[in-house]
Amino acid sequence: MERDVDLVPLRPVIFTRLHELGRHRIDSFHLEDWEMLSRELEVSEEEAKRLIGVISGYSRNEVPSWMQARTAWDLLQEQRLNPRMITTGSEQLDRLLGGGVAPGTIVEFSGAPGIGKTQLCMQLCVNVQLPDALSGIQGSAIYIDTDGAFVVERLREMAEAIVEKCREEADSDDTIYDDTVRGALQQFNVDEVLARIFHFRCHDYFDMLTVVHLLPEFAQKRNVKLIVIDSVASHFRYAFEDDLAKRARIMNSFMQKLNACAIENKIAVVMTNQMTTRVAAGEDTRLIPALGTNWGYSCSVRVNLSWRNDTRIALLFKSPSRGQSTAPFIVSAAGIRDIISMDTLIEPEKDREATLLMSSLLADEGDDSILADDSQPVTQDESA
Amino acid sequence: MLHTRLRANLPGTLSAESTTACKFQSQKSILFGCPSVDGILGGEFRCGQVVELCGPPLSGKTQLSMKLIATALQENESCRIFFMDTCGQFNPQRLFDILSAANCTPDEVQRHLGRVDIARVSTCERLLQLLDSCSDWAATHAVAPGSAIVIIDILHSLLAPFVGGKSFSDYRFLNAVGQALGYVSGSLGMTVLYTNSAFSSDGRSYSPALGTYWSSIPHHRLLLTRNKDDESFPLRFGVVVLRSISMPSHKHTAAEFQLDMEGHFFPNA
Repeated sequence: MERDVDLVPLRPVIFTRLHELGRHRIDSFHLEDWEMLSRELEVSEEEAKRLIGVISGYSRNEVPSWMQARTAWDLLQEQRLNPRMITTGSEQLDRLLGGGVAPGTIVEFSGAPGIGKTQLCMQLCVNVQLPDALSGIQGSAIYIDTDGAFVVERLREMAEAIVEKCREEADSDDTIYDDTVRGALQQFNVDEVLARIFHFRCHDYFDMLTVVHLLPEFAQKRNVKLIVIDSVASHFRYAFEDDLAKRARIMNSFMQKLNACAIENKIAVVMTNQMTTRVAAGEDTRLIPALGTNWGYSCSVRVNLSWRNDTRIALLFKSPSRGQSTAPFIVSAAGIRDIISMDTLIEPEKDREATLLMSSLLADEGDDSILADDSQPVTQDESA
Repeated sequence: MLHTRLRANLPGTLSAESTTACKFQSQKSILFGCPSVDGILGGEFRCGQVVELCGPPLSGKTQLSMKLIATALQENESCRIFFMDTCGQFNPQRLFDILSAANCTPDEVQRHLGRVDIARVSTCERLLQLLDSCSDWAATHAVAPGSAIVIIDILHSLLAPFVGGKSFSDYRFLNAVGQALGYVSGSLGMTVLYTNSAFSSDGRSYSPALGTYWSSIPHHRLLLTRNKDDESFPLRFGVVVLRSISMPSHKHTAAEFQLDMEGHFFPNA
C-alpha cells in the first residue's frame, strides 16, 4: 500500500517542510536523492541520508527485516529449554512467577506501603547479576526511582548476602565447578554489584519520559537486563488532575517505548504500583491497584502483595501462562526469602480469600470511559 | 497539489463487480470451534472478513482467538496464521494444549504449530508495516489468500495513545490502521481477527474501546464478558454480537460458553 509520509515517526518541523516541498508519499524517497533532499530541507548531508533511511525503512511491502520469523513451534521449543530467569530470592515466589522474572516481560507488583515492593525491586537488581554458575544472567540493572525510596545501605546488605553465598559455593568441596568458575565466583564482590546498578532519580513525569526515551541506547551499552520503575504511579497518578484522557495517552506511549525496549533487548521490566480506594454505590470500599483497568493491559504479569495474618502474601492475578495462585514470602535482613515452614502453594480453588481478592482487583475503575470515546464524559476515578 | 496527484493516477480504469459475483457469499465460513459462538453468528463469519473480539481483561478474548486458530489449523491443511503480538503475551503452550486436547498426535501438533508465524510489534508504525507486508508473507509461504488468517492481539494497546485526544491529527493512525485492515481483508482476501478492550462506567454493561469512529471497521463485533458472580469451574463467559454486516441489529443474539480449569472449552465440542 502507498502511504503518506506523515505515518513515519519524524519531527513535526520535517513534516511541514516535506509537505511544502510536495513530497507526500513514502515511495517518493530514494537513497540517491540525498543531495537534493539536503539542499531542499537545508539539513546536513548525514541528516538527509539518515532521513531517507528512516523513511524508506517504512516503504517496502516485503516482510521487514526486524521481524524475526518464528513459528509457534519454535517459540514452544525455546520456552521448553527453560530460559534463564531472574530469581526473587524466594523459591515459592519464583514458582508463582513460573521460575522468576523472565527477560522480555513487564511485571507489575502492587501493594500498600510497607509491604516490601521496594525491597523486592532492590533484591531483583542484585539477583540479575548472579554469575552463570549459579544460573544467573549476569546483567546490570537500571533503577528508576520516583519517590527517593532507594537506599544504598539496604542494597549493600542484600549484595553482601549474595556475595557470601557465592563464596560458599566457591569454597564448597563440590566437584561440579572447575577452577575458572570458582575464580569467577570468588571475584564476585559487593562493590562490583553496586557499580552495575544504575540509579536514575526522576522528579516528575517529564523526567520519566526522558529517561525512557534514552533507555535503549544506554541499555545496549551497559548490558542491562533489568529495568525497575519504583513506582510508576507516583508521578503519573495526579499530574493530570483535570485531563485523565491525556494521562492515559501519555502513559500508553510511555509503555509502548518501554515495551519495545524490553522486547528488542530481552530486558525484564519490573514496576511497582500504588493502591487506590474504590468507592462504589452499593458495594464495600476496597483497595485496588491505581492507574485504572486499561493500564493493566500493558503489563503481562501482575502480582498483588498484601498482608494476611501477619504473613506477606503474593497473589498472581494476571499471567499469560499461569492461573491465579498465591505464595507467602518474608523480608529478612538478607532480602526476600521463603517462609521455611510452608512449602506448598495454597491450592487456588480452595483459597476463598484469594478468589475474593482477585475479583476485587479486577474491578473496573471509572476512568476507562475516556479511552472509549472522546464524547464520553470524563469521570474521576480515584478518591484519595 | 491534490491536482497533480490526481492527474498522476489518471488515466486509470475503474472496475466494478457485478453483484452476482459478490465475493463473500461464495466464501466459506470461518468457525471458532465453539458451538455456541458459531451458533450466534450462523455461519456468516466468512473468509476475507474482519472480526473483532472485545471485552474487559480476563474475559476469554485470547482463549477464543486461540480456539479459532486451532480449529482453522485442524480443518485446513493449507491454512497459515500470521499472529501479530502487541504485548508480548503470546504463549505457544496454550495453543499446544488446545491442539493436544483435540486429539491431535504429537506430529500433527508440531506441524500445526509450525504454520503459525509470530511477530512481536510494539508501535503503530510497525503494525502498519506488518499489515502492508502480508502479501509478501503469503507469497513467501505460498499461502492462498483464502487460507490466510491474520490475528492482532491486542490491537487496542497500540491505538490507545491516539484515541481520545483533542487534536484531529491524532486520528490519522486510527484511520491508517483501519484502511490497512480493509486492504488485508478486502484486497488480499485474508481473514482478520483482532482483540480490543472494553470499558464500563457502571461495572455492569460494557462498550468496546476505540470510539464511534472505529465501529464501522469490523464486519462482525463480538463482546465477551466473564460471569463474575460465579467463580467456580467451569468458568462462564457471555458473548453478544454487537454488530454484524450479515444480520439486522434486532436479530443480534447472545450466548454463553464455558471454560474448564485447564482452559478447555466445556463441554468439549
